[in-house]
Amino acid sequence: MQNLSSWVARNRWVWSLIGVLILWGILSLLTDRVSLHSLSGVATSASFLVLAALGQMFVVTTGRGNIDLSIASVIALSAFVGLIVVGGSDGRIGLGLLAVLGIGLAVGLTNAVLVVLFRIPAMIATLATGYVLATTTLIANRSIAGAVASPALAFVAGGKVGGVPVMFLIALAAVALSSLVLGRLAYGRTLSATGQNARAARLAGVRTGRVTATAFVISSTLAALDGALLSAYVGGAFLEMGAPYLLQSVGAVVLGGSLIFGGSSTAVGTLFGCILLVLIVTTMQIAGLPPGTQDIVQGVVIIGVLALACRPVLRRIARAGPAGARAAGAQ
Amino acid sequence: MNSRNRITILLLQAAPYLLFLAILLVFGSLSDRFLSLANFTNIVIQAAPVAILAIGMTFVLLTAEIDLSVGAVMYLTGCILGLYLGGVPWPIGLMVVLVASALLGAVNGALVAYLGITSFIATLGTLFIGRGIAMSVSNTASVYFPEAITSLNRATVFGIPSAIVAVAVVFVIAWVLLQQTPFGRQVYAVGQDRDAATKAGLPARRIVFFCFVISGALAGMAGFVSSTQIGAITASYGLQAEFSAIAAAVLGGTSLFGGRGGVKGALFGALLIQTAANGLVIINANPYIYPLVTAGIIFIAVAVDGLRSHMLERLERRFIRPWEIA
Repeated sequence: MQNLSSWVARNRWVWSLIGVLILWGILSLLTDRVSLHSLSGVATSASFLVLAALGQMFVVTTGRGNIDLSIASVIALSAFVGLIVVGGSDGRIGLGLLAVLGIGLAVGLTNAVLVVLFRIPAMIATLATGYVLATTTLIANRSIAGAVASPALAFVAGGKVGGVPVMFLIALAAVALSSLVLGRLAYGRTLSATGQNARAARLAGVRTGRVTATAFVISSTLAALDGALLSAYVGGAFLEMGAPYLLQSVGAVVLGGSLIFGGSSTAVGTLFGCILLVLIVTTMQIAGLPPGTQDIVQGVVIIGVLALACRPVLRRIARAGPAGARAAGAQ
Repeated sequence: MNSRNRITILLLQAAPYLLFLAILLVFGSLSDRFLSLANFTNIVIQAAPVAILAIGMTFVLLTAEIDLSVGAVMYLTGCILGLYLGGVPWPIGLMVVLVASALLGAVNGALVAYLGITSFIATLGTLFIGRGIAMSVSNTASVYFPEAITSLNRATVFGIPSAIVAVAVVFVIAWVLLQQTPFGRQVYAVGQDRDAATKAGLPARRIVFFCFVISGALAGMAGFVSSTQIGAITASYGLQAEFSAIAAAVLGGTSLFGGRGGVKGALFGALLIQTAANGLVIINANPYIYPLVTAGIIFIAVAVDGLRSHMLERLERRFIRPWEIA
């Protein structure tokens, strides 16, 4: 019993997995519209969220209340740019990828400069870059409806291999890679160290500024790729395209068991967090709830989980004394 | 080194005023209508909602927390006012709005102060919840306000437009509360060093809680004032209002890191933002440019704040007797 509880305490992603299983069970009992067929729809939607949420997770891990609120606008902008540059032909995919990666890199570096060099709180800095990007998208384009995605991209975004959506395989690969980076590679260890205690990490020789900057670049780049794939999936691009990913990416990270104070994250948990959130949204769509209800439920779920998750952390900080509290509470 | 640092900090502190001066000079030279008394009155009236929001936000920022839900509170209480209180006299409507928005603020306060949820996530959550509730009660349709409320916009008290009166009342109460009462001193104490304040026996949680209540109530007030001005609200109403409020407060010298600033600055910041917006309208700039200019001003404000806080922190670390550098 002791072993089990300490194992669960170390592997917080278990809770989100349990949540997924319970919600799935209730859904299949209540309605026959949830079937194996709709499972692949859920998996595809969750996959788009996974890419954005993994980036968010890296940023959250750096601690100091760091967060990337520009994800939504990056997704919308790269959706436009991806569609325009690729122009529906497979031959130009390389060019499109370059353009999209360029967006991710540029936005990530901008965020990093604002946060690391100018010491602007990440929340404000990324909200502002997101705001600027949204306006840029607005000036550049109104909306592209019914654009034809290139066949290869459309296959990656919407196709299936042996009944499994290709996007889901990509998401799984991304989760595995992130897990590897977090748990096994030097970068992941310095990332966790920076999030747990930036001053100690710096004294130990970690270049915390560089570590944090890299996390922002990872986040924006993943969001940019996500946007390009999303536009290929829905066959168009519009301004509000990325909007759901703002709260959901944060929500998935938190639901998955990563600490919002930073320093301890789990990629597997983020995966299950994404699936759980998408299941919740799907449930509400099936139930046909009025507009706005989705936002209410998502907000309640995230606050509820945080209310539960923050208690043990606070208790631990209280025990560690004021130094620990200051490290965790510092902006 | 010592005096150079002092000059840098002085420059950083003067940056918003220099910016204001630059805005006045640029738009004043581009249009002769800009620097008139009528236009300035207009600017103050238009700045009223943001000024009230920013005054409320100042309380929260002083405790080193943040309230992202103010725009949602504006939208939700606006929907309540327009949908359910159309027939009642406006003072009752205003009372209901204030009580409802204070309750919403209390929810934020409870989540942050008593449940220990990081304020930007907690209020981001209540932002979505608030907008969600507002969208479902209004069915995302436009909500129109009755003549009884919109006519307030043209009302005057001793010849002073009602919006300016509203800001003045809010400002005076907030200023007295913050500068002349024990509560105000405690807010600063909690913001500067929460651990020390707690050890000195201050009820830090309760103080943070009440700052969120104040921010919520003033968001409702700001929504009421802007309802009288625009007459109808849509589903995009109040979006990014938190942004202008934070920007106005920070431009006026309130630090995002807590413990520094005041409500006078919030008033100045709101005027600065509205002056820039007004100038753009007068020179017929492309409407798409507005958000870019606002974002630019905000970048400057928070960068100045970040650099200033960093410098002060470094100076305090280097000098054993920090008062010698002040």
